[in-house]
Amino acid sequence: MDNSSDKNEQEGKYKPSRRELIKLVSAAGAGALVGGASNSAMAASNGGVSSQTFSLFEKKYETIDDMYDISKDIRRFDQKYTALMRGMWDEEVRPSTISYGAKKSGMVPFAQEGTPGYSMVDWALHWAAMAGTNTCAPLANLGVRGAGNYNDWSRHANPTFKRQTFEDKAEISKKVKRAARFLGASLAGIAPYDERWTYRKWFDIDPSMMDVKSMEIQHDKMRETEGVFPFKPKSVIALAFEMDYNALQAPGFISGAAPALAYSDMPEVAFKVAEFLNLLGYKSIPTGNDTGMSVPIAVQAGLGELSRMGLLITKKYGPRVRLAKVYTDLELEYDKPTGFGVWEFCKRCKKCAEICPSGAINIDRDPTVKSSTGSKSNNPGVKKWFQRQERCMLQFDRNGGTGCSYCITACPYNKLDTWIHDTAKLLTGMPVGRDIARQLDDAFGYGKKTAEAAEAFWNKED
Amino acid sequence: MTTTGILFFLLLGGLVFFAFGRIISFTKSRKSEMRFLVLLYLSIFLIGFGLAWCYTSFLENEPRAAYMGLIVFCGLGLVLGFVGLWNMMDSETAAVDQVPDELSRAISWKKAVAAVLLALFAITLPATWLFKSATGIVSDREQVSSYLGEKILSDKALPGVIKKGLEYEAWLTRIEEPLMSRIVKSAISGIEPESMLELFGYIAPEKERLAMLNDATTALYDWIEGENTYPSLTLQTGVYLNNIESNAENLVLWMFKNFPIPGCGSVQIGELEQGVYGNDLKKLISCIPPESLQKKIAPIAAALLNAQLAENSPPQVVDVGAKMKETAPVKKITTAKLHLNRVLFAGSAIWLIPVALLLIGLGLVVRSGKELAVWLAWPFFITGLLGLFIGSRLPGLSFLHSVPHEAEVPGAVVGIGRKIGIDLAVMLESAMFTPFLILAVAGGVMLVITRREKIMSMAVRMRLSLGLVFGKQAV
Ligand code: SF4
Ligand code: SF4
Repeated sequence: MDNSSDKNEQEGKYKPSRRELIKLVSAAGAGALVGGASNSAMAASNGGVSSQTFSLFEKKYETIDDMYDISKDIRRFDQKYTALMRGMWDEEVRPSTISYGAKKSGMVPFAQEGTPGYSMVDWALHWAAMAGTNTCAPLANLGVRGAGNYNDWSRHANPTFKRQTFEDKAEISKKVKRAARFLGASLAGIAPYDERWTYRKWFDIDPSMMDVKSMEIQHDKMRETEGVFPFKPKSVIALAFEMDYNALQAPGFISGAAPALAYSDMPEVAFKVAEFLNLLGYKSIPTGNDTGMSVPIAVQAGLGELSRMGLLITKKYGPRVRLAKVYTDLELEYDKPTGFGVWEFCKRCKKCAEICPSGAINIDRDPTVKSSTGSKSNNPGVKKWFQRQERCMLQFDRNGGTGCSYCITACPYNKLDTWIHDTAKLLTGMPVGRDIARQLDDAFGYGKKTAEAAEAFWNKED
Repeated sequence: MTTTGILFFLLLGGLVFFAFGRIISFTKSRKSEMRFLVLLYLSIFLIGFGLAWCYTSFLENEPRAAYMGLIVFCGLGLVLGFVGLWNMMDSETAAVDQVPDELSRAISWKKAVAAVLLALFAITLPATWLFKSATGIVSDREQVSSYLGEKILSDKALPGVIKKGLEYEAWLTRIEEPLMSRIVKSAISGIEPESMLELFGYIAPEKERLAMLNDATTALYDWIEGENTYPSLTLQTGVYLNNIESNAENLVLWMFKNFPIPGCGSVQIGELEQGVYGNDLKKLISCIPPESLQKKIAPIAAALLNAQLAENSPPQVVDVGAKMKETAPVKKITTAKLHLNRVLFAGSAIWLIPVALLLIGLGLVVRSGKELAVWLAWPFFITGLLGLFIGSRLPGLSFLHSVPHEAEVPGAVVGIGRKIGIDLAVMLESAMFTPFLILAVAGGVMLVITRREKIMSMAVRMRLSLGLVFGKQAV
């Protein structure tokens, strides 16, 4: 199979249409200086035109296999080997996971206590943000499937409503995505069901084993189940949830509250989308980190591109999103995988790898098909940058149990969707411009977590 | 979008349109070259862009990006505008002036060499002065001793230093680190500063710590400055061992009070109530008994602790010099000492190199007092500004905000080392500030004096051109 990055280079020479050029100019340039620019200036919260700058050099692919170099013999991955699940049974990761959990839950003190981002108020914010998932979909953030009211597989896989038929696939697909966004997703796309991304075996754990006081591995509370759905899914609705930009700039629990809130939103919205499909008479399974790999599905659904750090980069929010997906037997029109230069930019940028305090992110220039990291959490067979994901757990512990996300914060694609970043976005599409954009990103001080940001977060007014 | 935002952008848009309009009407009447016109348009665009960038960046809570935008875009805009206006006016007057004498424009090789030397002076002086100041601080035994006493080992500073150390110890935990050690570190980090001091009061009170520091610095500096191969430094550890022995009971009680270990279970409490204490100190203090039992257990645990100390018989004195003799051969230690002395000497003298460059440069071109001022003005001004920047905390900010990465040394050492580094940076800031401020001001004054006429004529032209652009009444 072709090297997708070369493909990007050759085929990515996309000629913008006149209309797009006009759109760009109005977004990026002269318009900014007159009153009209004011609307786009603070479009962060309600969606501006800024992320469309990438459309100038985006490239659509028919399938994910056209976009990336995926081996024919790629094997489905066992969920047991994801870093979060390894924290339950693998001695390499368990100490980090237990210590991290003990600090996060306040059972043991930690060194950063009382410093900006680590106060009781910050801690309360973090747990409040997490309350949704803790109450209605316990441990969904770790990848536990089917737990809690929001994740009830039996309910959603057996709808009682009459099955509706839709003549116009495009029309109903558009409506499903609109419904998903209305119900709370920041982005929504539709991918074909691709078994390769479903875990070969699901790893089910009993929530009671999360009592961090237990120092022993509780084998009787873990179970592997064959990764077979109760029905044959035809489409997957990929959902992305924006995380708060300013919270991620702060350290500690404030920063951790950003993904925590997304984790609370994910099961709730996925549940609602599944309900929507059920009401139309179709079977569905709402999922978060569980059941299958979210990133390739989101790529197939045209939500963004795979990056060096292994996360999805979206046009609008960069890597500042969490992903969920809803499997359904409703046949829909699929979105196309879309590239906008991330792969090439990542080759030069390496900012996430440089900043990662635990050395989890691969710093080699080029991606590879085989992993040389020695991490059990790698699934070879796709040309990409392989990570040492278990080291994230180490970092979560080091951070006083608050999580980390230094990489997401540092990524130059992590910007608010405002007009001032359009020039840099344009640069990322040009070979010479990429290095300039990367250097300017540093010089302008983007991507740092600072103690001051903790105060600024609390002082922020609407 | 707030009302302030809407007003800001409307006002900015209005101003930019107004400026564009004025430039158009100003240039219509004259036959200015296109390139200068472009510069003027670009200038207005960049200034407007910079202001809009700054405002939006503040809304994004990106203050550094806001300031950088202001400096880069508005700064560039101002420079381009200035160049555009200057050249526009110049080309107009040049048309009526005579063709300049080619010879007078030629730069002699001497001038070229002098310019290079002075540029080198301007760039290297701040770095070498910084180095001089740093080595000056490090080689001053009084300063080092009082710094370590006040900022590291005193009762006031020590809890903060320990906290920093623990913070970095946590930051730099390794993936292989066993769970127990992580939990113990966590437990230590939960101890309050006052309790830390209480503990140090039992083992090494402030007076004794400072006395040891004094002995250590005296011996080390005598060694560095003297002829001896090894330092004659003997640490009296016996004092601390005696303190532990006499305060053993208090230490056990302190641990029960401050160490966040779990309370004893009912079986353990039952045994303790019956007076079954056992001989295992670790087991005895592995859980916190009820307060009523703590007083009974303390003397038993203290006796066990003292017995363990007696059994292990730790040394009463540690001869550091002798230890170094055992581990480091004479050659290695003399070379290390030599290197250290060389670095200290280089630090004290290296700033003379840029000064020499300056003198040579001036010697090549300066023949009168006026020429001296002309040639000194810009190097002084630039080196002054550069020195103020390097000496300021600004470059250190990136370091302060950088994420610590795994190091070979223990995390606590990294944390305390970083704290000392930051303190040193603050001391250096004050060492750099005065001399470089003087240089910058002196350079600035000389620039104004020596280029007075040019500046005056420029001001007149500026006034004229601004008047033409913005209307006479505006100037
Ligand atoms: S979350 Fe932290 S430890 Fe993990 S990859 Fe990102 S920066 Fe590294
Ligand atoms: S930080 Fe740079 S290298 Fe890392 S994912 Fe973002 S763009 Fe790619």
